[in-house]
Amino acid sequence: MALELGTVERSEVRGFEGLALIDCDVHNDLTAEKIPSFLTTESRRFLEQTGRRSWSLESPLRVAQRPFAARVDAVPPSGGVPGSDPEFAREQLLDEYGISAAIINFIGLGSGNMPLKLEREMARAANESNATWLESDDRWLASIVCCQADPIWTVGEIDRCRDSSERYVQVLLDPHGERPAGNPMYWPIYEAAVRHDIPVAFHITGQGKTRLSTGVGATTYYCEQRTSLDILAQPLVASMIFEGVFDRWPELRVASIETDWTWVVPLAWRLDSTWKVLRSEVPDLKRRPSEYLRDHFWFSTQPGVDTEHPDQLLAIYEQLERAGMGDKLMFATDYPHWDMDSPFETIPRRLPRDSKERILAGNAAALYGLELNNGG
Amino acid sequence: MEADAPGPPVLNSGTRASTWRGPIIDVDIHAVVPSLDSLTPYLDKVWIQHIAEREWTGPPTAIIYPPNLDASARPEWRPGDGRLPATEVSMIQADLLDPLDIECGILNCVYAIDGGPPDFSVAMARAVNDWLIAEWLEADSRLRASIVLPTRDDPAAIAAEIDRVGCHPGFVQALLPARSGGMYGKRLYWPVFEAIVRNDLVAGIHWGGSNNGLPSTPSGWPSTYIEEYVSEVQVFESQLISLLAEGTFQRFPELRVSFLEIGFTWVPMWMWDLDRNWKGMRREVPWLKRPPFEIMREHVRFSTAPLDAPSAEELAPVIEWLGPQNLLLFATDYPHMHDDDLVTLLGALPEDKHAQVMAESAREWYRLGPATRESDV
Repeated sequence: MALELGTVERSEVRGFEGLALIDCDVHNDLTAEKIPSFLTTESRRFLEQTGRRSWSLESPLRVAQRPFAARVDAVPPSGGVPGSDPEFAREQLLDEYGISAAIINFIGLGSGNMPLKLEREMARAANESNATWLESDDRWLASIVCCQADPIWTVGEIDRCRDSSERYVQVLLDPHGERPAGNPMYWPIYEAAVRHDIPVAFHITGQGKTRLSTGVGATTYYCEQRTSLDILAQPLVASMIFEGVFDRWPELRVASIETDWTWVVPLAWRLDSTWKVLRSEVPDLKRRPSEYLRDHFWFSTQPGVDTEHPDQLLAIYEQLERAGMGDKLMFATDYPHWDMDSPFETIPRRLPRDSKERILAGNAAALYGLELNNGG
Repeated sequence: MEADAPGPPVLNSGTRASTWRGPIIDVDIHAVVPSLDSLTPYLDKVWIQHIAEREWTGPPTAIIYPPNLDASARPEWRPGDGRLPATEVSMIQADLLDPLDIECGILNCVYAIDGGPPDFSVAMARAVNDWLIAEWLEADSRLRASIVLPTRDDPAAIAAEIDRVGCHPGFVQALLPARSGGMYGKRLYWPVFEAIVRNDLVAGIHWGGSNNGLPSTPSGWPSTYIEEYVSEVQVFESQLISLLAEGTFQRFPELRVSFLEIGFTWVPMWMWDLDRNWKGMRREVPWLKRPPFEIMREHVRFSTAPLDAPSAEELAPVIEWLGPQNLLLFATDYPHMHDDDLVTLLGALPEDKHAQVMAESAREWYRLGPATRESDV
């Protein structure tokens, strides 16, 4: 069922003329002022007295570039923190680049070292608070914030959000769960996503992760952790494929957001060559593992890729096409973070027009069921 | 479904003569400790008693290489008479060194003694290294070996063991388990790299290790070995970035590091990623005055098994992206089974790199000395 966008804008930038833009990863900050107003008195009192004690990153001494890793100029003139004002975000992002639809991923909650009841309440508060963004401009779409530690409760919250608006377009999970993403403890969430015909997205959360950045412990520098975002997605893919998630739900679609994408093709090779040797361990798997990766996973462009030579950049886009995944890459800005990508400086102008069209909007429109043609 | 099963070992359909006529140096061959009994001659009485009292049967093996899986030993490389694969020199000679006419092979003994009480861990490491000298290095002049190291909780003890046996001409490398439970770039490990450089050895980061209780992925414990094995790239990626970001190669300009049993097709993309982040965040790590990829090319090499490539055509550009220097060192990873075919590897390489990958780069990297004889396969 298609979700009709408002007026679809077409770019006039050289090399991108006539192309529409969909942004798959925008962040807002709801925690400071917005979330408490949606909580029960009991939880508000807990936050006032005890506070949120979830661990932030590996060490309190090693923080990101700036609070919220935000652009210096993303502080709203109205006051408040970067990402807190939907009107300012509209101006600075949607209007500035001519973006026709943008998906808000609120990642400020995390998990652990707080009452589960508070985790649930904050997830619901985030979804309710996001409704104010959805109301402020019809180009905003939202991901459903979950309480991953309580999958059964999360199913109810997915139903509640979807009943309230179809503009909650996907379920948002953290790859840093208690168990890897394919584990049956999460299957009720996948069942709900399939029932609503929406994708599940994985995006790292900024606070209160239950795990360290890497499989061998804590990083020392932010540049290490920033590079390590990729490594979360590799176990994620392997876990979901080998646990049989896609044999159980052939309709399930997964978006791995802000985890880079250049590793995908080499991982597809490794999946198959390892499976040739170890397939006896997963005898129920119906297809080659790389086929599940190709058919069920989507990826976002931000952080943009930089190669040593410009020809290599085109070559890895071609490599992705050859692997049958040219329709799986979706543009994202990651606004308002310091490393946000402009579409016109990230997607190589020299790519074939058809490829640019798919990456900038077509692939996301297909995944999220967005109707692009009206007004254009 | 024939394409969905691995071919015969290493050469697949070809013969040694039809595939590659030059010398071969194999940088990743496993020597397996058959049982604690084999180490008894090399252990002090106090530790023999310690083991006997506790009825300890040795470190667990299944957590690293589940013994009954083909991935841990090809069926054709299992003796079939009760002896475990790769536990005696004669097995490696008959299965690998003789039929493939291998000039030199480097033994990596993966033995989970990298944690625990430091004195016992040191005693075990010494025993394994003395066993490697007596029963492997002295038994076949084609063999070299990696030093097995004691607990990572005691870097001084690691350095002492490297100094104790590092002067033995048979040891060319110190073996660092990839799952270290702490990233190797941390300054905690500087005494280890200092000892490795002092003894003119290579640091070999290899699959394995006990990881101080951390799950093997940053998203928790996997369910199956295949899930873990596929995902293991992330551990090596983390170690690589740690060594680079922390300035290990600025602190030790002579340091050579080999990444073993993790393939290499992931490397160029990973390094581009790191280079890009270095551009944006290099003030945080001011000792990195050049792009990390450039620094990496001078200090790191990769073994070729598992190959993780579907075809020579897809592999060729990846090798080109690694750069003009040859970063690849041929390996069989005996007795493990991989879907590797030497024809694919050589087909992806320009002709003038064949000899480098098959032997000459390893000869230089590990200071192995000139070819022992003419190759006339």
